[in-house]
Amino acid sequence: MKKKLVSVLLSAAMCISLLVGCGGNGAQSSSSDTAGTDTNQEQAAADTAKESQNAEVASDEKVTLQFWNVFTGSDGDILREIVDNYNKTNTDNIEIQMDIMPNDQLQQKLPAAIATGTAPDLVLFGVENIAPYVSNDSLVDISDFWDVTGVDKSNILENVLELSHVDGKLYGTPMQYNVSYLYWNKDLFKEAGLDPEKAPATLEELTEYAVKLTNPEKNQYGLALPTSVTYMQFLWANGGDADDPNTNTNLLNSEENVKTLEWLQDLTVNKKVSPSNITGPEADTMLQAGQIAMYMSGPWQINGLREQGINFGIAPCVAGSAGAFSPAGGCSYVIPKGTEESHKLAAYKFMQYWLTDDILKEWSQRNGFPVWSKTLMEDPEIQSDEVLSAISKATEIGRSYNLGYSLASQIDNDVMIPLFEKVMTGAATPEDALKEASEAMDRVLAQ
Amino acid sequence: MHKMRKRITLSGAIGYVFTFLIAFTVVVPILWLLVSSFKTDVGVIKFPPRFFPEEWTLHQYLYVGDSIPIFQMTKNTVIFAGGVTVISLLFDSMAGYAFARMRFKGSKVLFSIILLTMMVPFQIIMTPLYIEVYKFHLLDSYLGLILPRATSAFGIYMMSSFFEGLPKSLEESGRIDGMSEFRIFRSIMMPLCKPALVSLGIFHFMNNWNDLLYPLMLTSSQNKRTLSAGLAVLVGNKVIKYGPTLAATMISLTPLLVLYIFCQKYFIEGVATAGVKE
Amino acid sequence: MTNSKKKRRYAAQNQKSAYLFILPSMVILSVFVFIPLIASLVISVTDMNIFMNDVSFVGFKNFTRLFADKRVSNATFNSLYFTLLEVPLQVGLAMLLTVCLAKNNRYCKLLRSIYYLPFVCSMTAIGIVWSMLLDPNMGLVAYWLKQAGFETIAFLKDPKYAMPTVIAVTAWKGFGYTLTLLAAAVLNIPQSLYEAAQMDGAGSFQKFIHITIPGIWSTISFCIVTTTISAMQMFDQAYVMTQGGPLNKTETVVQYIYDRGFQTAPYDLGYASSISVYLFVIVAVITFVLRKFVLNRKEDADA
Repeated sequence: MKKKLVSVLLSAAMCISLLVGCGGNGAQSSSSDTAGTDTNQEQAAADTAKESQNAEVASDEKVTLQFWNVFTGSDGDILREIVDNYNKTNTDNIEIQMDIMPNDQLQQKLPAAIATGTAPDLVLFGVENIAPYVSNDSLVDISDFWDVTGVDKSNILENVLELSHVDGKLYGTPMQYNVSYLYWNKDLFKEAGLDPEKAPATLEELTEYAVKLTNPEKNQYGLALPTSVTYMQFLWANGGDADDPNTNTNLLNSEENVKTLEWLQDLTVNKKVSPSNITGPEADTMLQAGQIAMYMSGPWQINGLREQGINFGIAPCVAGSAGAFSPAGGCSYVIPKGTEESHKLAAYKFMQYWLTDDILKEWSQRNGFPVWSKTLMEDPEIQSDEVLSAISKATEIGRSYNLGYSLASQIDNDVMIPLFEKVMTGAATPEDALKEASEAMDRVLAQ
Repeated sequence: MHKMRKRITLSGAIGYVFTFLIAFTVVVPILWLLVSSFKTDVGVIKFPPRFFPEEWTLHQYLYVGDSIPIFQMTKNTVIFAGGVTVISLLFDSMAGYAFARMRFKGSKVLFSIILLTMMVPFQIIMTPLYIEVYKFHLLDSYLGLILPRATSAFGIYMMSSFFEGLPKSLEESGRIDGMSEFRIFRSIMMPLCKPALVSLGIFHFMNNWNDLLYPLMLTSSQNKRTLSAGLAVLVGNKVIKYGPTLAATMISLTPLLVLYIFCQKYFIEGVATAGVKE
Repeated sequence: MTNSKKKRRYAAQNQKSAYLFILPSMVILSVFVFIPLIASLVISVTDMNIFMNDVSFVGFKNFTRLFADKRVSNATFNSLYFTLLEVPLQVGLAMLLTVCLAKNNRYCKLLRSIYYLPFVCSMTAIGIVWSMLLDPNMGLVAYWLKQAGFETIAFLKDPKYAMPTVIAVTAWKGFGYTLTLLAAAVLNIPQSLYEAAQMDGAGSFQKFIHITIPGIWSTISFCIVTTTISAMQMFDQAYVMTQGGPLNKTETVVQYIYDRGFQTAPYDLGYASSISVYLFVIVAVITFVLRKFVLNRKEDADA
């Protein structure tokens, strides 16, 4: 028995030392990193002066970059092609080894990898992750990116660039940008006697169309409203909001929000224009199968709809009394803490490559993502592309919802998604649901 | 052994109908998976849904084959799952044997502790485990993948409950003959536990074959990735492409099915021998 | 009966080799399970997140928070609900089928291998297949039910039916494995016992109660305990099929741990660990009670 006790104590001690050791390492590496960044910035400034020399020096040694991203599925295939092509053609002797993993797994692995110094040199993930990673001191400040690479930052739309900033510092370079769009099935519009070329523009029209397009006999629904997401576009349209990330204030309790939620509940519970309790992917599937007439989602729908031969249109999200808005999102390249200086510079090179109009154009054309490089927006080929011009136009109403706010995902998961789910399933009246959500919001904001 | 004449009684008939119905509910979804992996993209999500494809295609399999290095990943998975299975069968049965058939101080406490470790959800020890494997410099290696799984509380428990069920007289004869404990274990016990070993082996192999999170955590390059972790990449981040997903599922399933059918023989045989021995 | 001296010497030798037998397993378990486990115990009294920076000791704050957290009580309820229904369903069905199929003729062998099929599939695969089949709008099962004139059930989408559906799918996946274990145990019972009972004029029900059940009791107890433990840790099923919804009706404790630790920033590993300590205690208590009860039965049967 005694032996056992000793062994338990021993293992406890080991584990504590393990943890402490790791904590210590983390602190050490991060402090050395910050020190490193300062000197590096000076060095970088010096580097730019003699960039041509530097390029030659760099090309002597091969740099292999580990690159993790969450681009599973078919857009990952296109990304891989671009990266493979970069590996073949770049003159800086850089080789990028790409590793794709599902977002959930990346979120579990990356922090532990950063803490142990085994993180990749380059990561591509959703911009909503930047703020929490930065608040845990896990990403490299790359504010010197423009000076080092000479990329013209004024050529990138301001609001797109903003998503990669936290507290005025740059932590990533944009890879893609999008908002939510209203997709509509033109054939179903025609069948229902609606003008197939005209999408609803207001909340009232949306309701009217959705009811007309719903036909339970044919298992056809007017408007898909998945319960696993938030609908900021509706709250905003009527002048409501959820919270103000700058002042940490709760904005849920408002007449406008009650009104919007009542409308939403009427739409789903009474008018039954949406299949109940569906998830995003299920709605995607039904849209692709022609069972859904209207649906709000990102550009990733486009390729699937094309493949399935659906005759669809893309419009901006509908307007309410306060105007039309749509939640923005995107992906950025970031560099985790602990990345060596030479690898960081190599990563800059690839980020710079991505920001060239050729690559951005290829990505937009093949994936249907809107264009945000100013020179590219003037490109005749882009302008004549029907889908891209529709989507670019619909992107103008983009609005940031808690992006850059470290509490964003908690607000989503603990407050907003339950609120919309309760309202849309009819589990609570809009007033009660809102009251409960507002209390939950206060708890989250109090942290 | 004497043969019984076939007589269909009422209870027998109910038994047949019941077992057959259950078999039906088992087979239909798996058959659906099989045939649906040969559907076109349009066919998979067509409404109204159909069981069989209207148009058979290999497109989904070709797509999967193009997207990921299936052979490298299969090789990794075989090494990982096979290594874990072989080593843990040995260690599990040794420990299980000791707990079931030997008396030693602290055995009850130790056994309870082992049982307790079964109650730990993997998610929670994942991060400390990652740090440990990193400290041992075993990240991204086969050894690092196999070692933490080289024994399991479940296996020890299963083997010990199997050994408990064997007649007490078995090792006595060996002891009287002056055999060492290890020889008793190897030449008397091991042959008897073939069915249990096969079934635990399938369990280990299958679990590790299908595991996603664990191998993904402990490998950091695509050429060490296992099949299920690799196939997970096919399911889109924002959009699920059902066709390739179904094909990928079939691809990871097939080796296990083949293995099971192959082992099934040994399994039944083993059971029969153990029965006859007594 | 050998003399006591020899026996004692033998016992000492036996002890030494027993330790050697368990040594490899104990070393591996200590390093790769106990230590991480103790680490997570330590983490549960800190405010550590997955980035592991700036860790400080917070005492039992995580635990007081846990007991006030409605989602923890909801998840606990769901886990218990799941376990209470899933374990009897899976083990009971397997028992019933064992009675029908514990013979080595071709039909029984074939059916036993068919039943085993779902167990070989990954939960992810099973989850995808069943959620596609059961989808109330696009799925084949719903469509067939509708064609046959039945009221459609939204299965995984309906707060009332979601958990029962997850339970059914889990039992569907696992019963074949339990069956195989039970059938192997039944076939291992010496035929002579049955023949002796036959001569004593025992009916088949009596033989079942007095020979079969005691003969496979350690296997039954093993099945119940392990199925219970894995049911209390249910995660994959709901993760793939329902993501804990609708309205958190299928959110289990492990799922909530996962959500706090790895899905929702600030990735509160300290809090997640405290919930897992809480789960650990619950499962340990359940297992203890079960084993006390189950083992008692076994000793009865032995006597």
